[in-house]
Amino acid sequence: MAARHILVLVTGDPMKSARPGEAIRMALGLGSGTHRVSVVLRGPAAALLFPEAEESACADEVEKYLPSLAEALDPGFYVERAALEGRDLAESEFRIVPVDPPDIAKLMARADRFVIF
Amino acid sequence: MRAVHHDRRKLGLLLSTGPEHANLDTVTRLSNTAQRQGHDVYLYLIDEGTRCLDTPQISQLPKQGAKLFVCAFGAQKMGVPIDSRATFCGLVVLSDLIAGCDRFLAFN
Repeated sequence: MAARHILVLVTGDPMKSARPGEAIRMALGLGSGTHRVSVVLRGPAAALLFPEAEESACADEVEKYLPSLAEALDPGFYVERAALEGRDLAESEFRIVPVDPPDIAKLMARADRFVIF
Repeated sequence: MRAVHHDRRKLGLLLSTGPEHANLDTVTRLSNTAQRQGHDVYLYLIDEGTRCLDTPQISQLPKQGAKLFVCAFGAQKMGVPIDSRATFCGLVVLSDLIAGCDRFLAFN
């Protein structure tokens, strides 16, 4: 079967919901085969990449799946620039690529499939 | 009688929201319409979407020919019994659906 480029766009708040953690698990699962996966974090979902995620509603998923997913992502996690305001990128252990909404639109247009969580 | 079309296509659907969300109705109608037009429908329930397995809307889809898959991990988390109502599986199946379907729509 054809390998696809899949974009997973995560918008949920990990401090309030476990759904962003499920998105991370899914992205890792989809990317573990032949598909190429990109992950975009918007709004409160950016918290997944910072220390506060250890206290989030999906702390288990973050601990289990996020490091492996991070290794699979090239060039890293795309994160909405506005969601990074007031944050110190050095506090995150992950590669972060800040993007603006037009960049996100381009990424979505380039992908073969996209899933919003 | 089911219509047969030469341009038969495979439609993949992902549902991750629970029965209380309007997505259930949208997915059901979309699935029914696609099947009436002679297309193949593959539905994957994940996360809170696994709870939709108990709804009359979803349970009637396989009878009409839709292929129904449920994330086993999600079902376990949501307390959905694993039985013969659907194919309980992992993300490998979702990965195959994404690769193999002509169109893939996610309802989250």
